[in-house]
Amino acid sequence: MAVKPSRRPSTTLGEFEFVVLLAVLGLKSEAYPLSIRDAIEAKTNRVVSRAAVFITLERLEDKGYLSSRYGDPTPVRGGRAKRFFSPTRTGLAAARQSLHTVTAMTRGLEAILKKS
Amino acid sequence: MTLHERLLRLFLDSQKVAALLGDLDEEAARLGASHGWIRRQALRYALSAAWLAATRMDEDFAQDVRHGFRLVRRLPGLALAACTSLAIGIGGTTAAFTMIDAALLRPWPYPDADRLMVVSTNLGRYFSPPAFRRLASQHDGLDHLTAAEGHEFLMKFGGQAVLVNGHRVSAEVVPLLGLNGPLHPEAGRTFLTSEFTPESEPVVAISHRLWRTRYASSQSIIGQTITADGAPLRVVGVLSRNFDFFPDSDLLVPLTFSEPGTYSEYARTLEVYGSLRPGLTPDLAALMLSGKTRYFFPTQVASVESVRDRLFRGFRPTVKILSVVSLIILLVGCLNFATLLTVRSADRQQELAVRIAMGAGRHRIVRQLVTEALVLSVVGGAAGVLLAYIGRGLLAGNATEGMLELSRNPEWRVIVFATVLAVSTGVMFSIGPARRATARVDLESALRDTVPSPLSGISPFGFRGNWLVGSIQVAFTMVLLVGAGLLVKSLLRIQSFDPGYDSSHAVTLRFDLPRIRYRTDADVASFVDLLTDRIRAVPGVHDAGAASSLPFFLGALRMRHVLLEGPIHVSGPPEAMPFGWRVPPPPPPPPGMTDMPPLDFFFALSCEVDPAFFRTMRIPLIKGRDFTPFDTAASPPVVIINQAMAARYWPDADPVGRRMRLGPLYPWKTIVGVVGNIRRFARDDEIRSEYYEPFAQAGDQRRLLARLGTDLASRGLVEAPSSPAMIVVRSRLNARTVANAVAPLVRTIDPSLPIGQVSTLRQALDNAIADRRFILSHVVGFAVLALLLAAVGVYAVTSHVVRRRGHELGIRAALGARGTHLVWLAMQEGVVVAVVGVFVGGLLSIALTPQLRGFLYEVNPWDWRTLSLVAFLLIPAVICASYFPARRAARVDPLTALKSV
Repeated sequence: MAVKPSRRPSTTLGEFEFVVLLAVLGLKSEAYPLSIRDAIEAKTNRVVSRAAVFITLERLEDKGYLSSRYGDPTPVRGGRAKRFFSPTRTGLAAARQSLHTVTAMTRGLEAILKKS
Repeated sequence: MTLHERLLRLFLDSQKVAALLGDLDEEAARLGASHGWIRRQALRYALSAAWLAATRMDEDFAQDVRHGFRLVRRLPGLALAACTSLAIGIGGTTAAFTMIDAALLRPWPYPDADRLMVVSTNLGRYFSPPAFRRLASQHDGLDHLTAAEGHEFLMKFGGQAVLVNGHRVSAEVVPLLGLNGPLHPEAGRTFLTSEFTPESEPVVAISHRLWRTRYASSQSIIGQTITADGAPLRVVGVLSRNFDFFPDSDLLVPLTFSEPGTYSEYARTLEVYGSLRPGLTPDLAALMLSGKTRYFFPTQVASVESVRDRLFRGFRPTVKILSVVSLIILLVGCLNFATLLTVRSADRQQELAVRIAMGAGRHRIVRQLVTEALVLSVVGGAAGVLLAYIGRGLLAGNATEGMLELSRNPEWRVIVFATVLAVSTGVMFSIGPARRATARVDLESALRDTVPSPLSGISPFGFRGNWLVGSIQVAFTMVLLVGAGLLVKSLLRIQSFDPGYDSSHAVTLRFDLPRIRYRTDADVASFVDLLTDRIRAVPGVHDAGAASSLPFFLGALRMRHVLLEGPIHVSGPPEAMPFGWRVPPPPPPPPGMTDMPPLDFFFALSCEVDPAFFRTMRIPLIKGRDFTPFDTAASPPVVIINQAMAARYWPDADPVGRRMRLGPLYPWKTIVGVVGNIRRFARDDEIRSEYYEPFAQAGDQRRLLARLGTDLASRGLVEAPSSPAMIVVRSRLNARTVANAVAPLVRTIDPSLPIGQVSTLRQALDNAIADRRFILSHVVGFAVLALLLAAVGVYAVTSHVVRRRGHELGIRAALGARGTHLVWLAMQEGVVVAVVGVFVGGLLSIALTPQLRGFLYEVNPWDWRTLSLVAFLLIPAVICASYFPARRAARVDPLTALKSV
């Protein structure tokens, strides 16, 4: 018997969700909470809280946009494993959709946006 | 494990927690942060995880609710059965709670309602005006001591004379019942203190009902004068619509203590109410009041009781039975609900197994199953409340008069009760099946789509516990059926009993002949003779007779002291007074005879009748003669006694020709006949000594005092303001037709006389068993529903067993088992349920049915015939419920069964 997904995927991404999803995409197989936060802070030049990243990753996984797996334990982490995130196909589609929306909406506004 | 780790693990699984803490360790190493920093960050993570869990739960709940509604759509039969089971259980309980709420919980509008007390004594609940004045002179124990006297006022509306119920009340009624406070008048004002004096202008406050029905809610009625009992009364106000302290009372008139009989110690007509002083108990207040009540009657002891308690005491047995019955139906309904849920979750084993295999947490699945059940229980609860409110009409309609005032609008307490009941039963009776369903998931067989153990997961309460649940249902159903059987048997006995007269085709009409116009017994007798003569001439009327009192109507039935002419031999124990009346003190010695030796008085009920009474009522004359028109005031006084009196005082002698009188100075009355006994008060009441005298010869006391040259008032005696005359019309016409035919006849005799109450002898008899009928209808109704529920439960379980054992039965069929054998295999469970259930139910019935004793009539609560009959009917009914699904077992196709193994 087919099992329905536990959560109905949302078709839209919030702004921070989009940012986190892009960070995961960029980090490829090295995306775990600490590296994701570092990447966002480095690229956006803004301070991001650990809790915000944690909650967003959980929600993206709930929505079916991300999946997670556990790596090997490392001594620097007190013998604990990393939790690596990777985008799912629907996650990629959602990221594309969000990017398309932003591109479409900013078309023709380049001059104004650059000025400001 | 550290504290922050424990906290995190409340909301996240161990792997996630380890990963998070690993991140923190790594970052701490990079930043050179301390352990304290790690702890703080971990706590922040814990808060975030808690918030996340809360939002997830919210979403999960909404999703589960949606899933629950999908279940309703997908399996309407199962959902309907589950919802109906709960609806019946919750509806019944809510209906019973509505009654309890009306009786006990609903706040009264009166100030300090819990301290509102009624005073009574061991001689009865009524006080004489002097006794009341003595009580009120010193406020011992009770504040705002108030006297109230019920009275029927004769009024005229549109030229038609009508009797209106009212009360005369003393001045303290205003603060006692908050008539200027919470129950302020709808219009006008309440009474002023000055209006309770004899010199003041007579005033009246009318009820909201009378104002609405008779005066079209017109404000102009205030200040107008209305006429009641021929006297003008100025209307000062309209009482609050919430005022129902005196039910059915439409007029409140100040009691000025100048009314006739005000100085009489014997005119005990006043009910006394008061507010209990803070810090006192009712018993203490009664002790303080007893000093006053002993003043005239040394043996009189006061008692003080909460008005609410007294009101509730009357229907406490009814409420008790209803509560037990409704709890039983709730239990049967809930067990059914649990069984159906279990069957349903057992059918979903595969789905659950797949979900568990895919990583769904057990708690998550339990939560989902419970939420689905909650959806059903809330829908069932809503339907139950609807049922309860529809049933309320029946409940109130069947209730005995004055039993309960049920609110017309839904009470929030009832809604809260039903909601709590629905949610708690939904959770309580689904959590067991859900836990068991997830615990018993057999992953391997479920995923292979093969057959798990035939009985796995079928019982909400344990392995093979389904027959236990079924047996409990059958047992409680049996209790209800036995109760219903006993009540039906009792009612049949009551209806077939012989009241001593013929109650069929007899219309009764009550007249209250005012003493002002009907001064002597001859006046009353001539009115009665004239009217009955004319009624007999009406086409369709066979006969008509009259009496001062009719069975179950009371009227002017009196308990009298009598002196019997010796020798007599009293047989049997002393007779109990009806309604728990206390023996009144003997009459005061006549003037000049205070040193008279004590006399041996007996008590007997007395009733005045006309010569046609026994004939019309069809009361048999056993010995002697009937009254004749020649038994007048001028002829020698005669009486007729009943058989009970004859047997009690003259067991071995002929009473005809013997004499009796009311006291030493009263004339002797000769017993001229003996008539059959009649039941006067209740169908199962004992029969008491009773004597009848002609209307024309009654009123000995007045004649005696006239002879002695004194009047009633100066002797401290008082007469009722009117003499009741009850007319019995033997006719096949209905009551209304007879009343319409009699009304013009009455007008030709006395144009200002209203017909008080029109009824039939049959109706009076039926009213006397209204509470039994009320209980009966409910117990029978609930018993039938319980039977239905139990049958549905057994049917569901057997169907499930047949479905799950399909493979096994198929193999047996393939190996040559006969159809009957397969059916027997499938229905074994049902037979066990029936037999065990009936056995346990029998024991429970023996324990519980004595509670019904008060409602039974000539039926033993442990009536073995009823028990056997119910068992005889219940066992086949339950077996039938398992037979029909079991029959399907015989049709199992062996080939299909073998293929699926």
